[in-house]
Amino acid sequence: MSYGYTGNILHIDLSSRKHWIEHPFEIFYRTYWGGRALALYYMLNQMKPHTDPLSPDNLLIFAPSVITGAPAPAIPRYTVCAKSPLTGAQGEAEAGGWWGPELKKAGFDAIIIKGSSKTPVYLWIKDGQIEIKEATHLWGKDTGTTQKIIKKELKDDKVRVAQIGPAGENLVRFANIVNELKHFNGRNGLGAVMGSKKLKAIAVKGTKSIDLYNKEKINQVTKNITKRIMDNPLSRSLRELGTPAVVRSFYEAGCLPSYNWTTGNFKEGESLTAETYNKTILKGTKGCFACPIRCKRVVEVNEKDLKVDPSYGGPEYETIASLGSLCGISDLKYIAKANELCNKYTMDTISTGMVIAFAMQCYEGGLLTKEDTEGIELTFGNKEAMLKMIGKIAYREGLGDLLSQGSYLAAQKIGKGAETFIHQVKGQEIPMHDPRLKTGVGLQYALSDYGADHMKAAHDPFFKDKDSEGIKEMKGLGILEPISPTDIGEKKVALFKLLDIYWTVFDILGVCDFGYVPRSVGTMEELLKIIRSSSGWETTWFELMSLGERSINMARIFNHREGFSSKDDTLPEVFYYPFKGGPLDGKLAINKKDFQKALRLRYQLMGWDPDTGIPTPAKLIELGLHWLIDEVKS
Amino acid sequence: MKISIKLEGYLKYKYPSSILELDYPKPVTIRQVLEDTKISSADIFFIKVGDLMVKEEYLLTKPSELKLFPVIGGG
Repeated sequence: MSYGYTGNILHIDLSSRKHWIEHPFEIFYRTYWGGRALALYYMLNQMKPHTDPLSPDNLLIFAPSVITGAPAPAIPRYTVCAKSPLTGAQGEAEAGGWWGPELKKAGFDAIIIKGSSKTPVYLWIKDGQIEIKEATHLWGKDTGTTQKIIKKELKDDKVRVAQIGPAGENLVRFANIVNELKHFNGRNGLGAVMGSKKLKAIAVKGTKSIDLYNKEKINQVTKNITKRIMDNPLSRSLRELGTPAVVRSFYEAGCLPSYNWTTGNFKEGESLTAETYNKTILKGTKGCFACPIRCKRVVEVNEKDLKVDPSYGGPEYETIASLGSLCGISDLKYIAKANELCNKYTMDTISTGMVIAFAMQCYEGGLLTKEDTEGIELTFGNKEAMLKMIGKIAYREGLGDLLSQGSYLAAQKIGKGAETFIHQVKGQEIPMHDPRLKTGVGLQYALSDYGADHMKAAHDPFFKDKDSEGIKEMKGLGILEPISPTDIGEKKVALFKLLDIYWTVFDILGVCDFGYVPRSVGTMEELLKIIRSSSGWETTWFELMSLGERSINMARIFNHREGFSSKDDTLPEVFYYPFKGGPLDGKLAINKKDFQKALRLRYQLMGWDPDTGIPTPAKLIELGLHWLIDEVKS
Repeated sequence: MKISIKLEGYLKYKYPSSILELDYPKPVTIRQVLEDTKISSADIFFIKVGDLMVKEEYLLTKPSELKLFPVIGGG
């Protein structure tokens, strides 16, 4: 067994309440490493095609990686995978925090859960011991209450708890999973899968240290990166302004997603900026395991009629836009309250904001009536209505029941043209970055195996100039020439093939994008040293990029098996039209033909059939996936 | 002709001051202003003069306030 792993993969069948531990050979670990690659191996081997995502046959997999738990900056993340109830495709979401490293210390490289319990349960994993505990008394409780009870029951405040709230229990299709109340496996509705298994939480505690190949070397690299992080302006901005720093740029440029994507011009944008945030609601900052950046916000509101509990962190940029400008709301205190509610109930804030904004547009357009909303005046800008709708979605009451299915299914049910008001890819609502300004992000929205996501590749501006970080620091991947953020030509397509694979490696290994190039100061060489010093493997970026590409092809095959095709690699229509209003009025539409040409070229660059987007047998052989060839033949 | 520059986001931590002021005797391009202040184009995503979004080639012909917005990634 290599260093960095425990050698134990825990399998749990909640139907029979049995568990067993698998001890894979080193070659298995070196082929799949962890995260989504490891998870997809089991999903492809053990799940039948067309499994109902909310049935006991869906697998729910928690997977850190070989470097998770190594004391180095910005590598705290772990992956949760399952077939997504929101998209019907491969589902995946990464979370930071402390849970992933703790699972490794508790003795496991991954947990693979199948079946479904008849009554609510939670898992208690401590130093290799596994207990399935009753959770009927926790069912229905919010995340803060649940965490308190579990820590009290286990008589240990340092236990790390990953869990679902009422939205997961109620099978909201965009319910998420939270650890330590603030760190989310946010997208794809994996909390609903957990709820369908009647699994309320997984509490972990480990007292063993992880066996690393060369801890001294890791410490040395960590010291170097940490010093540079502390001096780096981008890291300082993340610490002092957080991701909300983005708001000012987007609102001043007129590309802040607003009023359900009908405009980027949000006149009240100043009230949503990081500067306003810091003056009005910020209480402090928090970080993840071993990370000095501390980008997480903690907010508090303590007014007579509105209180926001700091235990649940604070809204990130995505939340400020999705539950703010997108719904026409400019009151940060209400957005903070909406964020707290989503975190208590475990609902993805992007999808929640998107379905509410969609419903607001339907209401204003007469597609939904006051009867449908049970008296709620669901107009843009109505902040009280937004808070009410969050509760209704979490508990699936009235219109909330329909919206809990996601905007794609809700629009089909509403009909009357409602589908023109939704903005999604493969059923997942798009995030708050407008691809008309960053076309590579648009390519990633379209191609992402788990639906639109803004974290599928580094963004275009980091490659815009010869002195850009992406150009200066990533020559080792063959990235040599700058490209304009709005270009959609051949060079952009080739660049984003590499960037997709590079950040997929980050996802597999649990690396935070805020720690390493092009987004931050940790270099590719330093990350490689951490990986080598953790595992003892003399690996290279060639091997790591092959790993990333392997997992992308595995996901592509999984989705092909589920009936997805090149027809599902789309971009919402709104981006083929110019901006309306504000400084960008009438500018920057993406040319649809150019975009489709770019997708076709990308398929070819990936070694996929240019018409169908299905991986070729030769590509599968190259990546050691010969065992999947029958899937593409059929 | 007074040109003031306001730096936003991480730019205000990268350069010595978040507001810079320069005097020019005649019209000047933003590219020249950036060169004079040693602000790297690689850091800039948007430039605004008043309510206008402009590019580095834009010619400043009267006293102006420039706002520079940094490159933006995911997160």
